[in-house]
Amino acid sequence: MSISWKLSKWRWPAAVAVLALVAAACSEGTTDTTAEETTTTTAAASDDDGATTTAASADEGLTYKIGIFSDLTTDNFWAYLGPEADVYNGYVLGNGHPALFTIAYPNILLVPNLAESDPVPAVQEGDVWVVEQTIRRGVKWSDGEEVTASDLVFSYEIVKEFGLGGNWTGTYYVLQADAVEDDPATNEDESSPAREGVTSITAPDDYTVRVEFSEKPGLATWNNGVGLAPFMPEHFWADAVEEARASDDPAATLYAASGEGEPSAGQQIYAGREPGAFAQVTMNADDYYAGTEFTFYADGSFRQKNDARGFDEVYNGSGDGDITTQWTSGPYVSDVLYSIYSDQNAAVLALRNGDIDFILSSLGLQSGLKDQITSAPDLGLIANASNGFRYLSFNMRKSPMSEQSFRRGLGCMIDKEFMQNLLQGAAIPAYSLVPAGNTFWANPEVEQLCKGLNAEERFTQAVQILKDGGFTWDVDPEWDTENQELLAGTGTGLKDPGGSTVPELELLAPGPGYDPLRSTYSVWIAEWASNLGIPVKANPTGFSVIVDKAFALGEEALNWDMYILGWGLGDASLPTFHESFFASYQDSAEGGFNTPGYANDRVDELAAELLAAADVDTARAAVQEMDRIIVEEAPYVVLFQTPILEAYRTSLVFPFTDSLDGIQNLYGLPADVQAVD
Amino acid sequence: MLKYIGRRTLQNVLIFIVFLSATFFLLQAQPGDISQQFLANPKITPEVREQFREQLGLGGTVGEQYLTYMGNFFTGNLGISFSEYPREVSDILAERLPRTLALFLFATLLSFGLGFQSGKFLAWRRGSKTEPVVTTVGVFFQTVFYPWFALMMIWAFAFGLGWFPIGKFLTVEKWLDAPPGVEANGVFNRMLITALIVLVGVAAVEVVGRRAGDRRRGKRITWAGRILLVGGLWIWWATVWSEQAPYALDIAWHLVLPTVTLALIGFGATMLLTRASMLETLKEDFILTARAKGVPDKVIRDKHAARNALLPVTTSLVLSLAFLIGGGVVTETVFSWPGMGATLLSAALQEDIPLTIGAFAFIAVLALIAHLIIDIVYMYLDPRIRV
Repeated sequence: MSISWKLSKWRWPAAVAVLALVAAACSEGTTDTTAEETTTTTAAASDDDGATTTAASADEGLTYKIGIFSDLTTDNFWAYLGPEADVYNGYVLGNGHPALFTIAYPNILLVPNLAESDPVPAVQEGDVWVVEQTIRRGVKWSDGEEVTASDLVFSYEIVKEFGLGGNWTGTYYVLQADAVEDDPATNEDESSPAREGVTSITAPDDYTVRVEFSEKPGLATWNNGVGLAPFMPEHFWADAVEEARASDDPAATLYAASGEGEPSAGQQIYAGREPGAFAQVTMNADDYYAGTEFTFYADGSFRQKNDARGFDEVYNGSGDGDITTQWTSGPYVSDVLYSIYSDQNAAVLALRNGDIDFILSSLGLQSGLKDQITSAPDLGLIANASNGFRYLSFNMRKSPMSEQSFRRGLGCMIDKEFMQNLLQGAAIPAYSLVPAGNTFWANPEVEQLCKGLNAEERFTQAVQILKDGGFTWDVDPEWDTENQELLAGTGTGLKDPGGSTVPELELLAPGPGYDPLRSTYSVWIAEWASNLGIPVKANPTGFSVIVDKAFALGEEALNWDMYILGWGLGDASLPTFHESFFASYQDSAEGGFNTPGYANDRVDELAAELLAAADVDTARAAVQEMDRIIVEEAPYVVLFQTPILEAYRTSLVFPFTDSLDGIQNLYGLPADVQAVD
Repeated sequence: MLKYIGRRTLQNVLIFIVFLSATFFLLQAQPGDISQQFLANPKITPEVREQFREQLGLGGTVGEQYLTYMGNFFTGNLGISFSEYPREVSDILAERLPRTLALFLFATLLSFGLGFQSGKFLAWRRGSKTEPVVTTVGVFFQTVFYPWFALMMIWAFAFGLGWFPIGKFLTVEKWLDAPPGVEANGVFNRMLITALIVLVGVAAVEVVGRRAGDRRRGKRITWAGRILLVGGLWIWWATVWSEQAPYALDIAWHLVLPTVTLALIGFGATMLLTRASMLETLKEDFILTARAKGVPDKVIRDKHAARNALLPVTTSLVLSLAFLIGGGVVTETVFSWPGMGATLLSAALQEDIPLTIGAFAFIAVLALIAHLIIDIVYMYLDPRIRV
């Protein structure tokens, strides 16, 4: 056998490789030529104008295939709401346990689910406040057992008896009576939130839930607390609970039990998983709300109507007028498959290839992948505001950050619209703490400091703010109109109102590898500060380093000046984060979340009002007023939001695509997604 | 021989201790505080945090922490993962290890075989028209930016041509109908056992064939042994493991693209080194002598030249293992292959210190075992070492 013959074998692999690349390139070209079609199809698929969606009828054989980016860490719902509160567990497990109420999207409205009516107001009976809420008859678990009030009683008793933590604490609000008695401060302070909680949940009959509170319950405790607490199927978990009760660590034993086979009374039934590869749920065709027509009206009212079940209910208004969104709930698919990908590039290729229909990610897709989506003829892109914000925080425990004029002066210099352009739209300017997309709670009147000014106007106004606040310079700053920066030799020797020279300040921000947006922002803020003669040094560093410093206790809370971080916000239907981040008793130096060390009596009062509010109007007024005060006093300067980008196949249609935090926040709408007719 | 193996084993154990110590002190030197990192984890209750502090010896001096850390490790206590709490690190690693082993075993064998054979022929056919082309291809693979190349492979062969799946290690739809008891790790383990049997069996048959005395008889024995081995395994899979067989084929299909990608990256270096080593060997006097004696070209090339050229290539293979494992982090991420590399990356990004240390340590153990095996192979290839 000659050597030349052997070497000739190399030609084949080489030729195949070249052909492969050419063929792949050709198929890509085909995609490009039909890119224009995408716009039309996508527009038809989304239903943002309020028209009823036109879609195919239910297809029981259809499988909704979703790409996710992390494996499940549990199949046990107790663990999911406890130590395994991972978003990917939530996507798969979070849609099978109903509560008394639910949050209706896209308008973010609390409406009855298992309850027969809106939340019943609490009435005082002796020392306690009581709510008796009736629940619907005929709601069944997927194994045929009826959902009864005793399921909620069972859930509450287990949370209380086993001391389940994590999200269970914030749903059942179990009153820690021992802790209250042992804590002198709580004993003395009758308005302490620690005194408020659920003392018992009982079931006078199968269809009535009786909840007793130690104090008059606010929205956070009742409507958005117990009202959103999941019902757990007692008949399924009874044996596991007995086993846990007999063990040394009942909570850990219960968390470790398998949830496979658990019945559902929601839209999804967990069906199993292969670690590292996929998870599967089947859709619950017997879901009580299957086939219900949901309608949002322009006046904010909401209607849910199901002739087969015999209900036609209107909440939050009259149910008349222009329809903004309307759809009939499915399920239109028989099951959902969640395929696990490690890399967004590969997931997008899988989407383009037809392997999956939708990509679920709590952070959305990287903006660099946008072109790949928009250039494919059969893919659509959804962009929504995220429920969170990135912010600049000041350490108000020391000068000059303790001066409002300093914080506002620097805040005025930050040109968020310029940064939006610089960062190619990846950082959407934000001015209020409540995301603008949360229309019910956001305060449209909140101050937009120096918005729309050019660089020189910003400089002039910022200098004036600082001067008005008592800051002085050895040489007053002047603007160099030619070079659009501080005139050389001016703006030196900045002194605070007390006459002390402002030292070099450190601005901590996540490094470019972790978050290029915040890293870039920090460099520009340092540059803008220098235009005022404020010596700021940007220090991009590790995320954990910033967290360690910002949340340091005691005297160590003085060891930082400014930082940039972000918050992902929780329940959008009742934003209580102002209390967590800005109430004076939440000072991070004492273990809370108020990192600036901000203290304002009016904000404390409003925070208490918010927590005690028994109706949404009172709560909203408190939130909007807190937002206004905090934005004006600027312990934080809110910088930007990031859009949530999501991609889907246009062969599917969603009832709506405009929704705060994206479709991922609604698990990818598995019960409502349909195949296009 | 046993003394040599014993000495090398002891050296590897010492290297491992140095490695573990370096890992510990690197973690100590990082900014931030390890205790703060898990304090911020809402999954972990105050009681468990206290257990962690005790377990990691965080209350003591650095020296005490070091002793606790080493003690924990050598008693098999790798701790609890922060990110996948309350799972034990050893449990997570045991789940991911077979997938990585499968990928690396096949990729290393393919890369080495392809690189060595092509390098051998290139050197033998020095000056041919194909030489600059193949050399350029080799240099390309050696220097290409790996994450980009891996994505291009997916784009071309999976997305464009549709020959292979886009990442992952199984076809979801196929596995939905898997009978009870058939799970991916079980299938991976069976595939690994099969591959190991093939490797050891082929080597054993080769040795027996060579010792047969008569060349023709030796060949017959070798071929008969190979057929028996493959046939036996075929029957075994068709009968005893028949339930797993279609799922093993599915995994094998998913294994092709990442294996080929990883192998191509490693093949360039092996090919170029083999070529250089062969060219040196071909200048030796004993080759000239063999030619003068009329020994056939094939025998000169395969037995006299290639076997001597193999020594530096084997050394290079050992050194390149670390690179292959490093490349595995990228491979596993891009191909959505949830093995040790992807676990290491995810653990590091989530600051899951116990899992990161555990993954590092396992990779180190794998690399050291590979070194030991190569040392033994080296001893077989080069009789001078045995003396």
